[in-house]
Amino acid sequence: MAHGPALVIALPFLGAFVCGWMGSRRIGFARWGAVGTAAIHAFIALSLLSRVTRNGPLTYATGGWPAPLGIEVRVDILGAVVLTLLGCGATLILLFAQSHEPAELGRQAERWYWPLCLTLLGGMSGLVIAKDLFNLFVMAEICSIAACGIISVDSRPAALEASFKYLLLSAVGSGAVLLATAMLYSVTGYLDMDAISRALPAAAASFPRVTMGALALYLVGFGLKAALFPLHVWLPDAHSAAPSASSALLSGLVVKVYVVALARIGYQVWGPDLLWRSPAPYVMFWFSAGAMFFGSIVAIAQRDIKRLLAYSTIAQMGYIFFGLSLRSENAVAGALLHVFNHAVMKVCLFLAAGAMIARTGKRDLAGLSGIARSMPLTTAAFTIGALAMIGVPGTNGFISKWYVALGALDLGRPLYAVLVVASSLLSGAYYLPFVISAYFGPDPGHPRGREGPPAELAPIVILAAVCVLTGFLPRFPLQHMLEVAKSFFALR
Amino acid sequence: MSQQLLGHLNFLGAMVLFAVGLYTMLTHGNLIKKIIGMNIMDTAVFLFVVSLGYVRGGRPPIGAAGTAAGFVNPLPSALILTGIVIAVSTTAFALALAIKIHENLGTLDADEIVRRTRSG
Repeated sequence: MAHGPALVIALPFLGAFVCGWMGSRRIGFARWGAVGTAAIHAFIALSLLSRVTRNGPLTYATGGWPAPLGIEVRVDILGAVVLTLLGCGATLILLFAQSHEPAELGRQAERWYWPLCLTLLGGMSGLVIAKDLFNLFVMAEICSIAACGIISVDSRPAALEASFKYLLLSAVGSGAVLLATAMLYSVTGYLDMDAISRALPAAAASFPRVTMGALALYLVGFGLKAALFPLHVWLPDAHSAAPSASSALLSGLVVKVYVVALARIGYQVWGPDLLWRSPAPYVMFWFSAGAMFFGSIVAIAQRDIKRLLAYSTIAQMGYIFFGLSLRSENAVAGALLHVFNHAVMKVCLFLAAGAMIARTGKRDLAGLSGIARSMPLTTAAFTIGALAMIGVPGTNGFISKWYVALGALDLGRPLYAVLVVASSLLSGAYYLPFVISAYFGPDPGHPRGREGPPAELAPIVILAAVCVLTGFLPRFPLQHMLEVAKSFFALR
Repeated sequence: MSQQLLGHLNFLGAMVLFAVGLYTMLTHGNLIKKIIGMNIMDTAVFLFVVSLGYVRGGRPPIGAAGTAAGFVNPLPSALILTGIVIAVSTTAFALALAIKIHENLGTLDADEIVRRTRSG
């Protein structure tokens, strides 16, 4: 496994090529090829995680050229945990998709779906372990093109429009990121994150406006891609118009990798001291506080289940940015843990919603009332995911919100903790009515006893189980994230 | 002041182009114009990065080992080659989407598209 860091990037791209090539002849091969590739990816990610927790960060010089001349990738604990999340998440989503998507997409579009999903997986993996800023930009572009592809793959007008909007706004984000990278290169002369981080204090002293501008552009660029509140306009359409498995990939995994990239740039390149001398964390704080309330309040007004979940993503991304903008180890650990937890619960919710829509043909909340009687397991999983979103104790959402609130108390700002609690109560206001109507509402005549096929049901149930399991035994992601947060603040 | 401005002419030029591109992209209703705006914006960044490698009177970076001085910096140009490839593929994909939108909805105007997708 010496080449593990290169394999997690190369394998999905290779798989994408093979699946695209075989897709025209034997579609079944492409379907299972995609699931298999993701499963192998998950296995490599797990083995990297166990190595990194034992031996410390793993640096891999591509082509044998070490930095600053060559391009390096580095798997640290944060990278390894997120890679594991990506691998396992993609495996479950694709397992669901290989049974669900053929009917939703049709034969012609399906051929392109599997290569696009694997390309997206490869791009995301590259993004979270990139150590070179230009490499980060390239991987972000691969992600955004593949992400737009899996939205518009079946050419429905609404999806095309959403995908176009997403592509253009994401190009603005990429332009900002590339400009920021060029500005950093112009004042430090490096593209390698470690080298820039060493050269940055001197550069920030002599060129304060250039470095400040670069940080602002990174915040805008990755903020756009991660749907930070006033830059979120593309998300509700893109995530609700996409096919169900795509929504799960986009809402659960794709927006998260940009947060990881931004956290790396803020904490590993700038470092906490330099970061808090700039206005960036304060801007992020107010934006994210806005996101927590805006997302939840707009979600209450939604009638379409997938739009509701999409607005809930904006609110939950708010928690993540909120935690990252507080100068406290606990808050940052909570935010990074929420990256993991929100991915698990949002994927579970989107897959469950997709299964419900496929069985009933209805997307509006009223049309899905009484669904618990015909799809008890799916509804139970949805309920667990919804409770985790609200942050009910015993679910994983509680742990991450708890740590963000704890961080606010560490800073001596109980009001911030109140903000987190208040926004959690708001998310109860849109999840609970649906859950209650699913169990006790009138049944408009859903087909009886029709759970999805096992391949669709299994990922949903597994994810719901993970929500509860990491709620009671939070040790696996939590201790890693605490360690990552500690290392962020220990720099310099 | 004017000395300082002239010294950063590349930077200023890139910023102006970037703003022009961004403005075109966000204010024009026509999808093709939006794509053109996106390309102007990308070009602004590319010009800026390439200009970073410029050394006045510098020679092409090919030649004898050991004489590092006096060469232009080849790295920005190499990076932008990748950047251009990415911009081309993004443009191609955006144009493909625009064609599909036109096939399905019969218009390229952003407001009209929103109206037609909402109504049916």
